[in-house]
Parts: sequence; C-alpha cells; structure tokens
Amino acid sequence: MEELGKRALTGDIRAVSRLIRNIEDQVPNTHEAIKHIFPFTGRAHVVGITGAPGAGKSTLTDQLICSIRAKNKTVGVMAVDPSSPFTGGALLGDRIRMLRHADDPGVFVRSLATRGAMGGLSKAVGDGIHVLDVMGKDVIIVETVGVGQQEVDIINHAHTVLVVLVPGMGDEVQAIKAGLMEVADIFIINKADREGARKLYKETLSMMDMGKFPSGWRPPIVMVESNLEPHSFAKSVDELYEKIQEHYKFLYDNNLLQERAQLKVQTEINDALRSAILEPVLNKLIETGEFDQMVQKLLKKETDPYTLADEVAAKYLIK
Amino acid sequence: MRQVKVLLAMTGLDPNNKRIRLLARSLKEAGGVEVYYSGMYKSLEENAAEAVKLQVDLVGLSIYTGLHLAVFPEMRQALDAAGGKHISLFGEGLIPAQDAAALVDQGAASAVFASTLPINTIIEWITTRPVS
Repeated sequence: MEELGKRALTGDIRAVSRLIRNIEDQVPNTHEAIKHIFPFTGRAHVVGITGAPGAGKSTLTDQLICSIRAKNKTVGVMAVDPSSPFTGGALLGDRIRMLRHADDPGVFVRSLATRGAMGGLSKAVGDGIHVLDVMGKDVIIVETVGVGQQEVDIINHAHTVLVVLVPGMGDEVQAIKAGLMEVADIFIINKADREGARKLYKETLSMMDMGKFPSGWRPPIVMVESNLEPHSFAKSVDELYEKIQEHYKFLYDNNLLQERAQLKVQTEINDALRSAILEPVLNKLIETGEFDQMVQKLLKKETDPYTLADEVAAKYLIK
Repeated sequence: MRQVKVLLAMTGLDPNNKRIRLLARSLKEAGGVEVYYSGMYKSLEENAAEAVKLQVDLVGLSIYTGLHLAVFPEMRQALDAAGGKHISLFGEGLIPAQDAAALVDQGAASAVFASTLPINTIIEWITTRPVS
C-alpha cells in the first residue's frame, strides 16, 4: 500500500486511480498509503461546486476546466453522483459532459458514488482530494450531487464554494433559506437567459444586503448564459474563474486559508477516530450477536438506548 | 465494502443506444452495480483510458454495427495497452451465436450476450462473478 502512495506522488495515473478505488472500497491498509502522502498535501486550490439537480454543475465544471487549462494550470475533478439507497447501485453520468478532456494529461476526472453518505459528498472525497493534490494538480474541483438546502459538507473540504442557482425553480424565496446559501463564496446564476433570471438576481442581491460578512468577503454573483452560445458561455466562465482566483487571493492575503484548512482537518480527525474507535466496536458487537440482542431488548422495552450505550462504553472504553 | 464497477461503452458511429441505457439502469436498480456510461461516438482508446482511470472491474461493449468480430479483439488490445489487463471485457449487441462463441473462444471477451437474450442474463452474469 505504501508503494501505491509512493507511485501516486510521481503522478502515475494507474496508481492514483487504484488508490482512489481502494479508498472508495475501504480496502484494509489503504490508510498506510494516505499516511505516506499526507505530508505532501495542502498545495492545491480546492473549489467546490454545488447546487440543485439539473442546475448545470457538470456543464459548468467542464467549461471551467477549459478556463483553468487556458492559464496553464492542471486540474483534478471529483464528481459525485448519488447511489441508490435500495440496491447501492449508481449510474455515473457526469463524465459524459467532461470526456472531451479525456486525452489531456493535465486533467484527471474521477466520478464517485455517494455510497450512503449524507451531505452531498462521498466518504472518499476527503482522501481523494489528497491524492489529486499530491499527484500535482493545481486546482481540484469537487462537484457535489444535486443538493437541497442542507447538504453542505462541501464547506469542510473546499477553499472556495460555488453555489449554482437557476431561475424558475419554484418559489424564489426558497433561496433565502439557511444552509446552502450560507456556504457560498460565489453565486452563479446559470441559464441566465431564461425567464426569471433578473428576479433571481435581485432576490439574491437583497438577501445578501441582509447578510453579514465577518470575513470581509461579500459573495459576488456571476451570471452565466446558455451554453448554446459557446462563445459567450466560455467568456462568462472565464470571468467566473477570475472571481475564483480573486477569492483564493483574498483568503491568502487575509490569512483565512488556515481557517478553511482547519475545517478539513477537523472533519478528517473526526472520521479517522470514528473508523479507529467506533467501527471496530460496532463490528465486534455485530459479530458476537450482541447487537441483535440489544435490538431485541429495546423492542421489548426492557432497557433504553442510553443505558445500553453506557454498558458498551464501560466494557470497551479504557478510562 | 467492495462494490462491482462497470463501464458501459459504445464505439464508432453506432447509434443504437436503447439497450445499453436499459442495461445501465437495470444494473443500477436490480444489480446494485456502480455503472459508468461513456456515451456514443467514442473511440476504443478513449474507452480503455476511461476504464483504467475509473478502475472498473468490467467493460461492457455494445455493438450493433456487425463489426463485432473485428472490434472485440481491438478493444481487448486497447485495454491491455492502456494498463487494464486485469479488466474483463464482455459484449452485448446484434451478435449471432456462433460469433459470440468464437469471440469467447479466442479470448477476446469473457462473455458475449446476443440482444435477443433477456437483460437479466447479463445482470446475473455480472453480479454472480467472483470478484478478483
């Protein structure tokens, strides 16, 4: 596994691909490879892109790759698609829109399925970002699944979060609700040639007039029109990329990158502790049949979940 | 947890994508498989590179142009050349039984399914294969 980590550091496509697959499948010992690459992480600018299903995230990502490549920077992409909650299956189609970059060695696109994770991402995203980072990608774009109002895990992984809005998605007041709107560093009003775009723009603007921006960064709103006009579409996305760079510079100049990095490491240590402490105990309980017994006891109301948890903690936690 | 991953591919000017799309949905909904579909009009090399980047277990190539006898060995070669020797190849399409058998015999594909077979045959074959 360590070998795989070493090869990933040299940018070996096959090693990188294998490593990400192992992270997804949670193959034992994959942590060894991550241990090896972790010291070299933290160089890339991570950009998250999120929004409702069908808002145009993949199409924007595809064009954004062009804008970034035009500046001679390399790009890694992680596009997340939903897994079926019933069968665990998934249909990953994001990449159809990005296949034109398939033979560009400066671009690496990977699709992931959520595999039951809540929050709009896959569990593999955190470590996946590290892998793309150490393989030498300058910018890493993480495209979330189509989200509602609350799936905002992206904030824990990205330096710059783009929220894509589209006109005509029902009551515009929905947009003012907390959650998704609060994580935005840049708003994109996509499909801005459609009816209702001005209204959405005004409402987003007035929502921000009510907001406070303690960091000093007021999220700009970028209007992007239909990609049926390739020239103007490309131009708007170029402008978007300028805003993204501005935001990164802002974070850098004001020593705020550290804050974003802190969110990520907090999430990581949380996950690592869970897999090192909680999961082994749970597995043991399931293996020995204790878990089932506890379920039965609870069904008969012989005890309650908190008493059971205290008992398990007393047994396994060394005080 | 290990989950089976499949890349469903088409190649050349073949426009017959109804069945491959049905297969994609069926694999997702009935088989619990993670399915990638790379779309129409792609070259064999593009699909091979995709398969390696995605580290899929299987590539399924759908062919309705009658060129299967030539294309499957080429797809196998493209996969091997891209570093995907460990990735199995199966076929689907308008393929007569004797051609299907010949392709499997010569090692160009692990299995080939005529479009007249029920889609369940393919799903069963994929989901009951031993995972490497």
